[in-house]
Amino acid sequence: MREIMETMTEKLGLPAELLDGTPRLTLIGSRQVRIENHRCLLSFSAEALEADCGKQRLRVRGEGLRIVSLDRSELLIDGTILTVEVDPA
Amino acid sequence: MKTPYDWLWSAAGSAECRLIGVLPAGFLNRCAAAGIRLGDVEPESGTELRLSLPLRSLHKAQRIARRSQCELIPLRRSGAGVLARRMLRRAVPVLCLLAAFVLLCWSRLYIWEIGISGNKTVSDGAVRAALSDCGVGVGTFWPDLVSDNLRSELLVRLPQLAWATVNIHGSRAEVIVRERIPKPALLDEDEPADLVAERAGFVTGVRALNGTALVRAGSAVLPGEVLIAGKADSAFSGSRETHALGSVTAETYYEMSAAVPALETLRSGSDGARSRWALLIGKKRVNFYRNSSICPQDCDKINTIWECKIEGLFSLPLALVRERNVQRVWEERPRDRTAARRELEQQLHARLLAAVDGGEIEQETYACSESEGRLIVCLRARCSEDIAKERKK
Repeated sequence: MREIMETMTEKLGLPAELLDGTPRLTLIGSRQVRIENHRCLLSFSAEALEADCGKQRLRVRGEGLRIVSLDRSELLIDGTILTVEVDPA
Repeated sequence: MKTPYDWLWSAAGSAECRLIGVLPAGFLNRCAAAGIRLGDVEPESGTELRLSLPLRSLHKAQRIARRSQCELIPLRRSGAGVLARRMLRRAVPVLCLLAAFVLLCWSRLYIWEIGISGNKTVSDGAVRAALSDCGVGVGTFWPDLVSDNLRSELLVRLPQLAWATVNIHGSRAEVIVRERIPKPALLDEDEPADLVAERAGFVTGVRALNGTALVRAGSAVLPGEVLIAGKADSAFSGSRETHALGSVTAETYYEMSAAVPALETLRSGSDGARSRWALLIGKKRVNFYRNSSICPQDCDKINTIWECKIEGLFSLPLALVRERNVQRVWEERPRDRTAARRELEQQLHARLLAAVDGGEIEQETYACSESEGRLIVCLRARCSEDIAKERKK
């Protein structure tokens, strides 16, 4: 069902965020990263953070990383962001 | 630096904790899944995190931590509720002190102690009773009292007083009184009167200022005998009634005796002291014992009262009373003769001085004897004094 919805969104040219549960990543300069619709946190340290976002796995590397807020759907990371990697799960 | 968001987070009530565990990420995921909003998550090492969470979710988070094989140690609690509790904990002693101070200030507006001075013949009890009739007693609200009215009422109720005032010092009412000086008897020179002998004696001198002297130096007189008659010669009727004036000095003799038992009973000690306690609150007494406090026979009741006051500063209507009943033990032993004799001689001398009343003691001798278990001292004295006493016709 989700694949059909993704195909329809793509064909109709609608914004991808309309799909419920699609992970969204917002990078604010190199200081903050906001990850919405994440599934869970896989690992976390001051240098790296790994989060499961369903079909993708997000990896943030940086210095002095800290989680500003963490709840069911949103994760806000603060620190010096060096790289953000998206890997297929 | 704390942001407004941090301040709001703190104000809402948050707990700063340390998480120790092998997989701290598991704990974070479980908390997020349980709806616990975590903040300020900072890794300290691979197995330790420092984080803050809502105070209301702390217990829930600790349960989750246990399930995640981690340990969640609360380091600091903050928030309006915590602050209020902390303030309250500090405020309670301050409030207690404040309440005590207010109570103390309030108690100073009431009279808890009455001191009376300046009275000689009028007893303290009479003054207190009169004050009570005027509405002044222990527990009276003194700002309601009007000093002038009180003084007037007191003088009306106690005519023996010439002047009175009530001064208030904190909770102590100081009543100062001055007694009225009795008026001396006025001499009525027109009233006929004789001068008669007050006691027996040999007349040594007569000084008749008014009237006719019926005795002269060397005469022996008995009590009640007329010495100067209230009569004077008159050119028209032979004699006329007058008020006799003058003095008649006579040699008088006194014989007095005083006795004391040869054995004296002295208290040799006390036995079986028993203490009872009571609390005085204003006019009320709360006894911490049963039965009455009537002292048994041969028993001394010693009351010790500890009042809640600082002299001249404040006085509270609170006092602790200790009542001790001490059994008396008596012992009979011979009296010291020398001391007893000296004491009796002093007594007799005082009696003689009172009897002579302004006269002169020319000679006095004392004799001591013992009879029927009594020590007797006799005084014989020769005095010179004015024996004339006025007697109205």
